[in-house]
Amino acid sequence: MTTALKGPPNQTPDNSGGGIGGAIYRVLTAIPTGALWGIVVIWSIPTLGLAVNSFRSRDNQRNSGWWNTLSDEGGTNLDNYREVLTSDSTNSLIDSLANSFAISIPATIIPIAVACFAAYAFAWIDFRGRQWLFIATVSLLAVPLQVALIPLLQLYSGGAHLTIPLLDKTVTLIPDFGLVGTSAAVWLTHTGFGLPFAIFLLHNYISGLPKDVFESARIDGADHFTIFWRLVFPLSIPVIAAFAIFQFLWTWNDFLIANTMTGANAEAQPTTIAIANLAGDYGRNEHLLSAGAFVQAFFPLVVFFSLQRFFVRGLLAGSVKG
Amino acid sequence: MIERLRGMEARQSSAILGGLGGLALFLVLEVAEVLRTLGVRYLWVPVGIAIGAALGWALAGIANPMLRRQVGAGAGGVVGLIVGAMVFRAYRPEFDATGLLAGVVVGTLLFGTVGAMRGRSAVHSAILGAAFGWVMGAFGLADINPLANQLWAIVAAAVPGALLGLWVAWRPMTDLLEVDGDPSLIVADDADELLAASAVSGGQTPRLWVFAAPAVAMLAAALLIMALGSAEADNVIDKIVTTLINVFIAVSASAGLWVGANLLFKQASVNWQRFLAVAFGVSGFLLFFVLDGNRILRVLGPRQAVADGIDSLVNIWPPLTMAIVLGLFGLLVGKAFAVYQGTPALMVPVAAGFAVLGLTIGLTRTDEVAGEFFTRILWWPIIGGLLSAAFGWILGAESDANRRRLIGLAGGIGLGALIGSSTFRAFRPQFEIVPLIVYTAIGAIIFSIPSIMRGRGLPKTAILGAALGWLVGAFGVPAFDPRASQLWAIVATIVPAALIGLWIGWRPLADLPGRTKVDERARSWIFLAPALSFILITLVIPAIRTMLLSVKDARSEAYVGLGNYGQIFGNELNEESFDFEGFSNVLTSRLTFIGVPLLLLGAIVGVLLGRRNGYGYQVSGVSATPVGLGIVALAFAIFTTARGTIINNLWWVFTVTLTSACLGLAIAVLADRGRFERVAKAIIFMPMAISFVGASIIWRAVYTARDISKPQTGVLNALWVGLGRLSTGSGLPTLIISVLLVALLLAIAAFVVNNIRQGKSEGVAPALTVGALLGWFTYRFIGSGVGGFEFRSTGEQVPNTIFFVQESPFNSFWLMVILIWIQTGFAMVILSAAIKAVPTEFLEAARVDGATESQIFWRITLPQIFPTLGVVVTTTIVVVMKVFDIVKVITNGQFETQVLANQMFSEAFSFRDRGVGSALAIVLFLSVLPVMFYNIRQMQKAQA
Repeated sequence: MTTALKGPPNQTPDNSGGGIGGAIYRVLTAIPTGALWGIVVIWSIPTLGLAVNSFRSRDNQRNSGWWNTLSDEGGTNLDNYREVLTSDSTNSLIDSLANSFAISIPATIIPIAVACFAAYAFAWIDFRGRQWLFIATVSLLAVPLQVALIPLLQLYSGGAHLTIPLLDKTVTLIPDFGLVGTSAAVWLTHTGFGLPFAIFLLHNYISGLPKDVFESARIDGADHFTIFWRLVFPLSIPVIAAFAIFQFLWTWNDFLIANTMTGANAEAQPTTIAIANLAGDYGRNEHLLSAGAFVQAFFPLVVFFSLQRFFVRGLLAGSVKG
Repeated sequence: MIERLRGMEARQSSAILGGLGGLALFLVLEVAEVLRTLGVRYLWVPVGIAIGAALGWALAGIANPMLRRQVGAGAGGVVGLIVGAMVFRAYRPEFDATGLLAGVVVGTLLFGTVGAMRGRSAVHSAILGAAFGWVMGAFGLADINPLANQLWAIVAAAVPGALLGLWVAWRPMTDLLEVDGDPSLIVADDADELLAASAVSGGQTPRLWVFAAPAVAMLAAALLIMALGSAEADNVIDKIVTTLINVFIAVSASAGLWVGANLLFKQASVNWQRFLAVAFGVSGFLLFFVLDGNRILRVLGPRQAVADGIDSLVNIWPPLTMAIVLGLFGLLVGKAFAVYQGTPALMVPVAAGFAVLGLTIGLTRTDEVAGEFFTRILWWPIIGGLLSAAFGWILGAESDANRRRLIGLAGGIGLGALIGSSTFRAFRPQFEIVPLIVYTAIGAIIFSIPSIMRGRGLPKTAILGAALGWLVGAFGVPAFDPRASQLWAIVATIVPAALIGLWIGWRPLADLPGRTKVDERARSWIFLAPALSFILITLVIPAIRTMLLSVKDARSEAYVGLGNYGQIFGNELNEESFDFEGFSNVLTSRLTFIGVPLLLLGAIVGVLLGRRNGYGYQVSGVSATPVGLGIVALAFAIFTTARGTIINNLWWVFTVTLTSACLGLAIAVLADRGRFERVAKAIIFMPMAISFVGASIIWRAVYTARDISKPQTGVLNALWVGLGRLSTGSGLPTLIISVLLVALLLAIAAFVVNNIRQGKSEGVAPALTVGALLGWFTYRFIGSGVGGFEFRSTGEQVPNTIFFVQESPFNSFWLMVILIWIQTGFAMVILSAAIKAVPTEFLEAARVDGATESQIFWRITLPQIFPTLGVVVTTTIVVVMKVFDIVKVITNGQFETQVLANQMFSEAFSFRDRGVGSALAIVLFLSVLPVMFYNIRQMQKAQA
């Protein structure tokens, strides 16, 4: 697909000639548009297929492809969704949905506040080592979070202790709060991991605000807190929205951190783990997978489609300027 | 919010305030399970909001003070009646005249006096006091008895309700929204102007409904799910309410701390003495908190018997204390609002809100915040904080140098004596003279070096150094011994404390510029500290620790040097990292035979075209396409013969990065300015919103394989088998398709020949590519068949399906397709924006000069968007390098699909080998390091 012909698809060839030659020419110049629609179809078929399957009974799903739906015995029904959404069924996703919210809501709100402060400081407060510290912070963007998982798990399960070198005495820095297997452990981790990106994104925006506004505010006697609270925060709402969407999608869809931090505690597991477990016991619950996957994807898709504009804006601010 | 409140009609705002009040009251009642349920838990909360809002709305419309009071008292009384009537049997109080009387009298007097002292109406405050006193007397002090008279419960609730209503209505109509002149409002006007300007210029500021709509939709969906589920949704609602309360606590506590810090350092330039007192107080609090938390100090507070007695009072102490603590805290936040927002009237409601919150926490978390928390953990810090605050207060007012030193010395000795004499027996150090002298001397010397080197002679910091050295020498080095002399413990504490006090007192009283400087410098750290500490604790320190763990053994007990890395690179793990066993097959691989000629073809065409146009080598569709395809084919030849975890990772990075970038670019170009551009893009972008787990499930269904004799349920196998049947069949459909294929091939050939004869290169390259692929397909279709079979080693053709997930080595590729499906949207969006940003003058100039669209793309657009392409590639590389979920869910690394991240997970968390797990994480980290450096360099360029 690297053919990359560029131009309005309805551009008429200058010497197509009449008859069959012209027809061929028209067919072939339509290839780019055709290719685009081909890709769109290929891109949507997997999701479409699963969507159709989620309304089919277990036997139908097992014995024929989703394209046979119209000839299904017994037609379509909502049984799969009903089972997945009934709180007393063994395959219920209700609890895990609540857990997902319990993780994503704090993991979205808290980094916003914290990152706003830091982004403002990096952009508009003068202090020594500002440039250096900012680059150090933002370069953490690329660090794979696997690098922090094992010690973090130890921190949540036993607190932090420092053995002072040479003296051989241990001091407790952070006591054991018993966080392992709770959603708090998950959102705390998300908060930390999300901050470099949040700071980067917000800094890009906040540092671009007009300078004279800040100067006149300083002359009026406003301190940094006032400027931040009265000026920067309200002005940054668009980029905050963009980051919030990102972070919500990321935390809702995360599997690795949740899997590590909630461990075997089924009561704290979010939807991603729940549907992965459904997929795990192959065969038995396979007919519920399609419905489960859609229930899991429902909330991010709502956010995505309704706020796509802000999402794209954030994506661009986060990558092109860098 | 406040902004909005102020801008709104008085009626609306007071309705909102009333609603908030109702929310707070009924939330507490529901959480404490005081009320009978209305079928569903927490249904009382919306009812409460409605009542409160209605009351607020009604009151705001009544100007006559007498009428206001009557309405307020009446409505409050009715609400009280309802609450009283609905009180759960287990909470009915017995009638206790003494307690009631005592509560009301004390409450009235206390509030009335305080109100009068603050210059408010004494009667107004007394009403509130009477209400509180009544509640305490009637419910708090009385015995709870299920058999008690219900009538009394109703009366007991109705009276304070009426009193509260009266209190609310007592204020004149606009009091709540009073705004006085404040310098910050000048800024506010600027902000409003700016906001308005930005809204006009490009609709930058989103309207509220943009966020409200999805929120409402999600809420509706959540409710629908609950309704679909069953009546047992209580559990879930509970969980969500708890989460929201937690979030609220976390956010408001940290926001309060942060605002408090800002306020504190503002005091540095406003009122130095106050600043010093608070700063010292906070430091003292923290110092004693750490000492007490490590159980170094003796237990203070009531002995066990007393604590038991407190426990028997059940729920009163924790909620009450929490309410007081948080109420004070809320006062601080309210003060901040008053200072920064110019809304002094909101101070009391904010404080009250926090108090209610404290009450809620106390009621719900009785177990966690039991009496011990206050008696054991908080007493020492409070004492230490108050003493230190007094020290700071005195020091902040004294300017005479000698007296300052004296005060410092005395304060240090006092605090030191307190700590030393209360040191827990187990922490008494033995007396050892040698280390004491040595370390004290070393400390003093080290701290004076910087100053001496600058030629300023013996500095004051030597005192601080000596103090720290003393601490190490007296407490750090010798062993602790419960039988050691207590006198020595006291002396050992007093000396360094006195030294530190002296050091503090030695500094002169800060002058005005110095104070402003403290304020300025502190602000940057206040703004940065929350983020930096989060990053340090969750990212930086763990990363350093992982490095340490990676050179230790599985249980982090002994150092093994680079042994873990040796295991990884020496192929000693469950899955090999590098497996070159079948690598010699690369020479006989079919992919090699396709790749090499393509590469040569591209090179020759490029050179020929280049010579004709005067370049060395011309990059265009005709030359780049074969080269690209050739490289891919060769890379695949290598990656399918050399196997192993790390090789797999490289394969992933190569394939996904290249494919998603190229596809994204192609789609961005194809869709640019076309009809339905937005629809097409949205569909291709959509997978970004789906989780990797969800995507894996979606694609696993596509890859499903069943026995060849049964109908296929996976799309790909159905196509493969279906086409195969069609091509090997002999019916009319097979014939028709064969004829069509041949006709299409001929048409393409005619097109190419026609174009070349007319000397146009436009469209020849893609037509040739399509023609080649179609030709191969036709050859197979007419010949041996297109699919639904495999060749055995004997050369026999056996019908079979493709096991996409199980058949190595290409199963890895099928997993990569999933990530490509997700990542292409990302590449497309970013590249599309970059393409639209290419200046149109360039394109028009080129068109005027007669450049073809293809030439414009290769010579203008592509070079222009090259930096963006770099961003896309680096971002994708980082994502792909860490790929985990897809492999974990679909194969869990079986069938030779293992990748680093999944191997790290299973080594660290399934096999519990922390050493190897950490080493794998570090390998992963090192592999993205080049990307990190690239990013940093780009950023430095952008900053410069």
